[in-house]
Amino acid sequence: MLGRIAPNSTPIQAEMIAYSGMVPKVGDYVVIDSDESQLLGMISGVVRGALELERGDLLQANYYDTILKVVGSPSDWLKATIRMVGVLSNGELVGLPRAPPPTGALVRRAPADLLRGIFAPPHGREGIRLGRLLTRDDVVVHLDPDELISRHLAVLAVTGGGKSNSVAVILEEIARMGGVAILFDVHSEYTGMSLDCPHCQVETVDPVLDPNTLTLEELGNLLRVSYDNAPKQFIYLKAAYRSARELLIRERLSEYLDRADIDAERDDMLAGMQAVIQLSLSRDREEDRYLLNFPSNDRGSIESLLAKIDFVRSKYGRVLKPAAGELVDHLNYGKLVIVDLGQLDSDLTDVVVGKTLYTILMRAKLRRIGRGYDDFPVPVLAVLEEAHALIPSTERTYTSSAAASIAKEGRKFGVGLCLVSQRPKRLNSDVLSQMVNKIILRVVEPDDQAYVRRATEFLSEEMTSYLPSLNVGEAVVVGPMVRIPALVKVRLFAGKRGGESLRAYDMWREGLRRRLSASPDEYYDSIGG
Amino acid sequence: MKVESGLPFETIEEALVGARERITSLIFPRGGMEGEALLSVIRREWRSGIEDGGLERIGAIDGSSNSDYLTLGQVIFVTSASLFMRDSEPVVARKYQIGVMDDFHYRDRVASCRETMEVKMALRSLDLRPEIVLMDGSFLAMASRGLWATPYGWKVPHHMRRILMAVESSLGVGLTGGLISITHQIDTARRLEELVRSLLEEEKGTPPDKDEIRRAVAFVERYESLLSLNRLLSQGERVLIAIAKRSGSRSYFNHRLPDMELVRRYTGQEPGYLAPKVLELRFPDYSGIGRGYRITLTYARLERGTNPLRIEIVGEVSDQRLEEILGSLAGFSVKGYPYHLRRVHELTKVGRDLMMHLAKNLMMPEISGRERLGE
Repeated sequence: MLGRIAPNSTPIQAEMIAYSGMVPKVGDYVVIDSDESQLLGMISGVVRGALELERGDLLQANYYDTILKVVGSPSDWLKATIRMVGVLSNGELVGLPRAPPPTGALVRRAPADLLRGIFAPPHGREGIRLGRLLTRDDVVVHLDPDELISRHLAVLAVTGGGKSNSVAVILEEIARMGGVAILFDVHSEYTGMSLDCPHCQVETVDPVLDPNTLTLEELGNLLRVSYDNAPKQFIYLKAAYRSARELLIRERLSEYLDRADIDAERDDMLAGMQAVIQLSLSRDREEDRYLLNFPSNDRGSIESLLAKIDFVRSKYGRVLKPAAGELVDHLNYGKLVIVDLGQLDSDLTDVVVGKTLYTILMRAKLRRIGRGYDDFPVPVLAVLEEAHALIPSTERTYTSSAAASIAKEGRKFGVGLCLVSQRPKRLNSDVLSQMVNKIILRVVEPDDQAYVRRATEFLSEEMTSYLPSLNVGEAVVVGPMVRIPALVKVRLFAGKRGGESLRAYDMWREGLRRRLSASPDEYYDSIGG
Repeated sequence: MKVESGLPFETIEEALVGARERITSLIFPRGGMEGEALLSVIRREWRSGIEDGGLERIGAIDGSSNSDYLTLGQVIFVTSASLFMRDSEPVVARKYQIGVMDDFHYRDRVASCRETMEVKMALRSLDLRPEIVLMDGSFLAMASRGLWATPYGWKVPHHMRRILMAVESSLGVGLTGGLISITHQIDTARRLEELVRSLLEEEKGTPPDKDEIRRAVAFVERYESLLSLNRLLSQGERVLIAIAKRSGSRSYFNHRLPDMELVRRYTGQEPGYLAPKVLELRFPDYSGIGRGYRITLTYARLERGTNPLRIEIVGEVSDQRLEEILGSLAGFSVKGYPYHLRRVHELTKVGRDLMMHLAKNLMMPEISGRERLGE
């Protein structure tokens, strides 16, 4: 027995006065004997005091010494806030309470068997084994994969809070179940990752873009040309895009590339657009329906457009590869695809991620309505690391449009989204609010805490105040993927993951050891004499 | 000020203008022979510094009371007395007395009941062999308060002495025993009223009126308190100490300002105490208690920058014993007040919330007319 319910309880929240010597813990579950049923609650805050020391004017510890010398041990009291999480009937959760628990009702620690049942995998199938309850290490917490994919997920924490480990655990469990996932690895953190399961497969792929598959909007994003910021250039871009596409279809693109003397793959549409524009600007141009017609005062705009295409081709030559196929072609059951974006700048990252997300959604849609892509593997989870950079609150990026589409429609077509961020406040709030499931690890920044709280229904102000004090790997887990909110110690990822925390001391010592053990000649050789 | 009708209609400022100077001179007397002479007396009597004392087994007694006037013309009251003593382990005790009385001088009578309980708890505490026992207040005040607390004042009818003796023998118990006030106990109070009625009728030959019976009952209640105090003082020499945070007494300096105020103003900030003065405690004549007691009086500041306390010790104590007592009190004081007394005060407090709780449990939601006003 932990305590009894104090007056002024509501169906949502109650206060408990603890029995002497009982110390309830934040995050622990309690069962409350209510009128005709039992209520399950979670302790969201605990206040402790000592009757003898509760005076505002005792501003020096010496007074405490004197008082303790007189009274011995002080009269401890504990008051806990309990957040109601459900009504229990025959050990099963059956909805939320409609009436407050009676004042004086007995509060007991929830039995471990009850909690094991609640956090067991759904429907007797496998679940995503995330970790154990922080306050009960004998209760394993499983996530419901159906709810995770269909209601999306946000993993939020400061750097070093345990985000990457949590993501790795989830991805490993998904692959173990035969699931499909793609991870956009902005900082090359997961390169070299392996999963500890026989049928699981991990493939790290370099980002490639087939310019021939880019839409006009995607090209515009890459070139930073849109109808809003450069209407003239956008109009000529559109014309050049049409010409190049038609030339590609009619297999005449190489002819124009030769005429413009551009060294490129024969079917490179972006190079073809460059050729079309270059030939259009030529002083001795011939009449040609594929070339651009323009008044002389637009010449400057077209020359700028040409310069941009030339710049993008030379800068992103490694990535833009005709007939390279799509990143989503790598997806398969029981497989994790890691897209290593570490060497791309933010513009290209935006286009690569946005395009891939759109492609996933489009293929899933077409598969669903029976118009192709029958072998496209669904459901699929797309994980975006550094989501605040890709889906910022301050501007609309291509990725944010794609993510918003998945957040809205993904559920119907089996596409789930997982956003991972250390700065929730900088994340687009519309998109974040649709990540109904959340794993919130350590969050320190007050603005971020407030933001997380606003975006998370269950999280009380008091629980939010505990976020900075969570240890690495300790998380508040909320959303339909768990039947009730939970404080979880996320288990350590069993496989191998690149990008673990830097071990500077070890690396320096090792480097120094090698330097000192090398002969002086070797050393001088190594530094060039 | 308009004086059309010949009668004044003052504003408070107008009244203040005329009185300001006299008032401020009374509150803050400046210099003058009287001031300087007084200052030198205070400085002469003041002893700076308090050394550590070695007393450990310190008991503390306090009481509390509260009452509610019922619309029926009756009063429900709760009194309490508590003990806190620091031995190898803390020892605590508390006793409540709940009763109903008619509204005749009920505030004084409830206070009398509380005092009786405090004194009886102090008597019991002596069984625990404490080195000193602290009580809140003043023995001198407790003994002399009778002037207001009994409706007879100093003039006690001759027949009352016989009634007192008869009451004590017919109740069959000694009035100074137990932990509660016997005369306020509900069953005994009913018997007491009957007894007083018959004794008065026998004395006068005619049935007494209601007020006369009430006066006599109140007198017996007060008598129980004084009798218990007498017993306590007789057993507690050099052990019993009364400590007052506030006091209007002028018995030390015999000045127009209270002693405590003079000490507060003119003894600086540092700990110290006044040279002890021995006073005589005498019970009021009407009580029939002829015995007197010597009380050692001092005022002390136990901690730097705190208000002084008035300290009375039963009996005449040596300087060494006084220093030992004051040093021990200072060692256990928080904000200049012995923590034992603070602790026992918290244990015994009968606040409004307790009265409301009692009213709810007795199913008396409308305990007084004030609730109707939303107070």
